[in-house]
Amino acid sequence: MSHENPEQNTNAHVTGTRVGSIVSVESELKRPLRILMFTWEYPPRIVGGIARVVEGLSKALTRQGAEVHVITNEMPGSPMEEDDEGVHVHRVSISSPAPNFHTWVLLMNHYFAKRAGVLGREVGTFDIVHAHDWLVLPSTAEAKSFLGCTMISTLHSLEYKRAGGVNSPEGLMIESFEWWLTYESSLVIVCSNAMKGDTKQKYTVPDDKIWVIPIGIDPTKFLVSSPNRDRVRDRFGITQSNKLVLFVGRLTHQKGCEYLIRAIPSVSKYHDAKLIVVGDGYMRGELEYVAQTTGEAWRIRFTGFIPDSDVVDLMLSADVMVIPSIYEPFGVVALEAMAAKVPIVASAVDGLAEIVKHEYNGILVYPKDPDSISWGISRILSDPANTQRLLENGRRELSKQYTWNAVASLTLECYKKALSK
Amino acid sequence: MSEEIITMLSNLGAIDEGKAVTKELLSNSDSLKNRVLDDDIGKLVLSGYVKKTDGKLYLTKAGLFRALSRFS
Repeated sequence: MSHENPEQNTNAHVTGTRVGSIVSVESELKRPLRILMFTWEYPPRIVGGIARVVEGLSKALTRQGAEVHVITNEMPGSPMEEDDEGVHVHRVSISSPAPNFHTWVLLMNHYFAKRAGVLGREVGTFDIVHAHDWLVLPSTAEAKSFLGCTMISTLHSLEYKRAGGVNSPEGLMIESFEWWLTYESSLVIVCSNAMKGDTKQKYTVPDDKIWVIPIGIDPTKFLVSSPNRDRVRDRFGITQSNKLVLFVGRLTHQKGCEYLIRAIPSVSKYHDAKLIVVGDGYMRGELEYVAQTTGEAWRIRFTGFIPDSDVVDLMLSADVMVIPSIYEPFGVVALEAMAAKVPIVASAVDGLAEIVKHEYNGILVYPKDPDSISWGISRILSDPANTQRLLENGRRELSKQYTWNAVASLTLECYKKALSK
Repeated sequence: MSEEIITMLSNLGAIDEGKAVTKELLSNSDSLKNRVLDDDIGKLVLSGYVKKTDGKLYLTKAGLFRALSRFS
């Protein structure tokens, strides 16, 4: 299927770059900029990275004077309407059962659009509707039309890379939604130069329609009084002499955890290493089987989903964090590792290789290559002086460009550019 | 099979006790038709992904996140 379309939303052909003339939108509006975000996940519903991005961005935009509303899915135990540090969160119940996931997505969009219509009457004019990924395309595009506002979208990843190719009707539908998202939007935000290149090539989007805005993190959550390292390690079965190798992520094909598991026998020839795999996903059973086949299964522990505070404690107590992804448009976990001052071994792929620079703030290894991963881990564990240098560089980099305030400022600039056309 | 069960529970909106569904409803869905589900459901309950109440089933938070992990 080709998504080439020379008539990409002509309304969206921005004539300058980021720094062009930006009108003072707020002074013309005589009220704060009003933004309506659409997302299928918002904390505490955290499936992947989108929830954290929408939360961090929305709160920072609010701190910078914007009025932000978020339409998202319900979550048992969370209020349907919530003021989350100034962000107006509107949770929606999908009250119709669906026979499959893709029908469920369409139903979700129906209920989201309905909520947006009611909000338009309750709140008044919105200036921007902002879609977070293909899952919310139909409702955001509809809201753009009936609320009469400008649409921005963030593409968080691309299906053909996430799924390792598109070979199913479901995949084709997702791809067509991704293209449609780029078409409907005045400007498209992606998180890395790699994502920009992929999006331009795959969906024939004009260069100046795509803005690269990185993802931020909140480093303060890693500044908690240092956890009792021994107590944390003891809780997870790590002894004083063990080297704690940590993986944090969804257990899906894209994250490449199986290659890390396969690297453990080689690592353990030289280091008394134990691997803790934090996270869950549809590949968990398969990965537990792979661990059994290594003959070193006793060195590998799967925790499933654990509370955020435990993840932070583990990161602060780890000797090395490995990010063996096959595809990673950004890799926020690398930033978190830098904040936690845990050395990083990461695959040299996509946006991840833009954050982690080899022998500067981490070690890059070949994707899908257990031997290379093993080498990277040993490089970290065998040279503490060099590792210390990598950690210091990482920390410095983090404070320069990956704060939510910096990300929100760029996003506001993007909104204003779209509105000024 | 286990993945198909939790995905179907998510599609049906069975994410809390009030929205729990029967095993019969699950086994009548296209992707699970004519299959014996008891063993897999038992494993999912033991692993903490599914809860059973008054003969009906619903996803725990861990089950919901696992079901959706494929699509994020």
